[in-house]
Amino acid sequence: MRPKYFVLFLLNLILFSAVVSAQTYDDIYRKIDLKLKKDSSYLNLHYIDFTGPISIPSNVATLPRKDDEPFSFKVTENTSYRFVFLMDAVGIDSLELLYIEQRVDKSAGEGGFFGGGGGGPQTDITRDFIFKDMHDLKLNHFDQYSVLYRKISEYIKKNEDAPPEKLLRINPDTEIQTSMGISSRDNTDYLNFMRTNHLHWYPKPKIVVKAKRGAAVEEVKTSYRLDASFSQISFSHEIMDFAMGGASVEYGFTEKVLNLLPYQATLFNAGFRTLISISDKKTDLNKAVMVDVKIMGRLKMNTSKIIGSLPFVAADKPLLNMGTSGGFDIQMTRPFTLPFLNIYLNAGGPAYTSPAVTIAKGANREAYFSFSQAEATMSFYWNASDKMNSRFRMDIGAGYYDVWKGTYTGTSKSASKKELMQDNFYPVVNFYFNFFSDNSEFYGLKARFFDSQASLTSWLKIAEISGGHIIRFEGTYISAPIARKNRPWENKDGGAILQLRYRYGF
Amino acid sequence: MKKFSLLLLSLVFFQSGFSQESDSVTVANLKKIYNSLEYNTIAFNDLKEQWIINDPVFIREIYNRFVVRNAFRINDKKVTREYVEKVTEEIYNGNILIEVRKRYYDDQIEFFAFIPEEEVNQSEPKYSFDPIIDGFYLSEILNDKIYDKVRNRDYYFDNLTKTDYDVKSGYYFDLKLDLLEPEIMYWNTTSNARNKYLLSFFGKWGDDHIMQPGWYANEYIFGSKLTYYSNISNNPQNYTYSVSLGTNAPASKPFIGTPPAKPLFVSGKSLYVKISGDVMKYIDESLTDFDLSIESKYTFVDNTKRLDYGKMNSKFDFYSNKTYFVLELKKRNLFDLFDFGQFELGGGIGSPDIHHLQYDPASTKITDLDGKKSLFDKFTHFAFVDFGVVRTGGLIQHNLNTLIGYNVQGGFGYFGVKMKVMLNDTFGMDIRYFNTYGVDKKKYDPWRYDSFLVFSPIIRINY
Repeated sequence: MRPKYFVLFLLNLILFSAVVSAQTYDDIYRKIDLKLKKDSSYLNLHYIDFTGPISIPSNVATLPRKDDEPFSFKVTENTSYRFVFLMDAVGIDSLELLYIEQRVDKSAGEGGFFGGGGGGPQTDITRDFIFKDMHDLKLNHFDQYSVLYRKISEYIKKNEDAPPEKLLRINPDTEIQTSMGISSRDNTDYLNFMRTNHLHWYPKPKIVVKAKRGAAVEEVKTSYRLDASFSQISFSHEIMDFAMGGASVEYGFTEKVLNLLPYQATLFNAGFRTLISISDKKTDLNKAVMVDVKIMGRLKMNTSKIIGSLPFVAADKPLLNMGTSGGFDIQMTRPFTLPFLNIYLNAGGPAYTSPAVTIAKGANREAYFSFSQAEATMSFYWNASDKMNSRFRMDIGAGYYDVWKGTYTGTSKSASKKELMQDNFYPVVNFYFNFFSDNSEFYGLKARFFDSQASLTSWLKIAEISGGHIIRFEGTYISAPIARKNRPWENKDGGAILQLRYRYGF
Repeated sequence: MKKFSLLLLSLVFFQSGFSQESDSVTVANLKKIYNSLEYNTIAFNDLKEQWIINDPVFIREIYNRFVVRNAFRINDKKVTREYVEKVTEEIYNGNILIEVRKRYYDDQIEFFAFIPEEEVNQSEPKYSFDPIIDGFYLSEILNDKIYDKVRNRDYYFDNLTKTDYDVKSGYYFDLKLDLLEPEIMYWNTTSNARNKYLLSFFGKWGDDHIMQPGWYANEYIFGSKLTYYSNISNNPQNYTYSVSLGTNAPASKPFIGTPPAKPLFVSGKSLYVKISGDVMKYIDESLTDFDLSIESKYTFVDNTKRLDYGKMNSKFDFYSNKTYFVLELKKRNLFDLFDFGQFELGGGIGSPDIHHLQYDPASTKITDLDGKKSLFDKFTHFAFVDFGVVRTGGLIQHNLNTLIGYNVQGGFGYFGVKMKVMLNDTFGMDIRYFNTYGVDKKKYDPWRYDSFLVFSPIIRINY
């Protein structure tokens, strides 16, 4: 090779390698500037706005630009500069300046073409010093870059209490997810459940502000509360709010333990309920050890005569008589860090006279009675996520009831023979599900399994009227015994009841 | 001229050496900045929506946009025409697919790469070109319309999005609802912030090791259990020791046809004790993962009341198991059986006593029809081995075990499988099936069955 060609070859090699490098730089510059321009949500960048006449050292008053005329800072009242930079990134040790935006407030000082600029604040934003320029400044004019760098660093140091603003528009804090939902460590889940499902009122924080369609609404406490359905009613007034959660009364035709629908249980019950705190924290409901106590009295009543004529009940006449009795129903929030506890006891004396329901047995009649029932369960609460839209509760424990048989000779109203048929404990499992939409109750389900029978209760909110009125449609179905034979006091088929439930002030 | 050439030559080497090094540092720094502009969600990479575009026509459409924009890069450098032609051949043959991943908090694409079919599912796949890690740059190459089409997925694709299944142990409450072995943790405490004492209610329906699985035992044992973890663990098998105390109650037998003429009944109130733990390591530190368990039921009060046997009005004979002992030693984590789980092997002995009794409504006492036999003679002994695989964590957890037992006095045996399968440690099924072998019908106890099938759904709620 002649020396002349060799020299030419070497010169080409030098020039070519420079061109390749420039291409790579330009590629990345373009990608970065494109991303900085277009990504409006995900940029994890900070910025500082220097407003008013900016004090710019003379050596950076004019900055060279890579592909354009030099950029000069304007020192005017209505011009501000936004310095955007990267900090706290993995693998990047120091702050990295990215670009400078010039923002000119058109409404201050400069009238619009039609005079006055009446359309509100107007700001002209131009990104005159882009990342490509800034990086070139860092590579080739480091003294100028370091002046800008120091200006930003000193500003951050001086304003340690007010960290620089972020360009990030996503809010990861509101998107936090846990693997399998959550269970609150205080009474939150318990209170949420009770406020939605309990027959009696539970106090709420005094003022709840709901942002609905932009308007802030204060939820006002009503002077009385009412929960009424076809089978049960509860009532409380603010003059009864002497205890922590007030006091209230209830009346109804329901039986808690036995697998009987309302009106299938031959009784009428009345109760007085109050909520008290046995911990030092009397007012902090979320932390307090609360006892929800209900004292009940129960009268035997021949509802078997009316059950056939109630259009909302689809069930056979009962075969079991209930006795006059008294008892209590207690729910307690995590005593000694145990689970939430529920204890129910109802006991009555043997009263065989004049049974409501008898079964013919030849010339005689037989009647079956249950005088005492009890149930003790532990409750566990959890939610599908921290948004608490899907709320769950499970009760696990044991239930008890006795059954006695009285034999009546001829037309006698008094039993000639009394016999204990069973007094057994059975495991009981209750499962509850509540669904909330936009923090408003929407649907509820309860499934219960006790003594080889299942019962399902489901409700759906059908109306919510301003002022605290809620109407639900509710249905309950109780199955026939599963995987065992019917006992003489049990109906062969299951039954159902459909009802409306009105709640006010809850 | 010669000197000038030498000068240029040294300049080339110096320039290319120095310049390459400084360029590569600068390019690396620029890429670092480029990669750091976004809010970092690397911890969620495996949970982000991701898929493979396998629609051949759509892949060609996208590929062509890259060709037209000359947007292919390898190591940040433009690729040669020859290389593009070579990859295009692969496109013609349908061997190139596109891997796509969306950002976690919004709908933009954060990863896009042409990938040869054989590289899919490789741990470190070799992509055909540099992946695009910025949806806005991708949008510039493809144009907005095609970019939106890629995001909306209205074409053929394979979804690779992972659902987060993982097993965690919460110590707030733990409800394991399995009819055969339920357990409800109701209290816990710690003495040094690392360990845990758990108190649970437990239930136990039957015992496989004495050939009375599930409801064939006709009694339910329930009580309270203390479990101690020296270090809290996500694997419930890693407990240090547990002590169970309980009693029994009669239980009915569902799903069983005609009962035997002389059935097995509960004849009294019993005390149940079980102690188990990883105790062998206290003998020698290398002996880890050994579970030793000692279990016993002892009837301390016999039934006398008529109602204890139900409302029976006539005389009848029956059998009853009043006492039993089970001793078992199991070695866990013997070896990893591929991805199927950890192999475990155990063995032991189970010794129940069997009483032949008579109920007579006219009598206040239960008659022992084998009164002449000593208590020791009433015991029968089973030797058993129990082996299988256990898998914890992930989407599916399972215990698949084989149990083989042999009755020393009766000369018969039984064998079968125990399968406990859980989905995400939340829903599952516990199924056990055993069959007998070597049975001499003349000597076989009349209350025993020839085969046993017991099962229960499982629901576990753990926080």
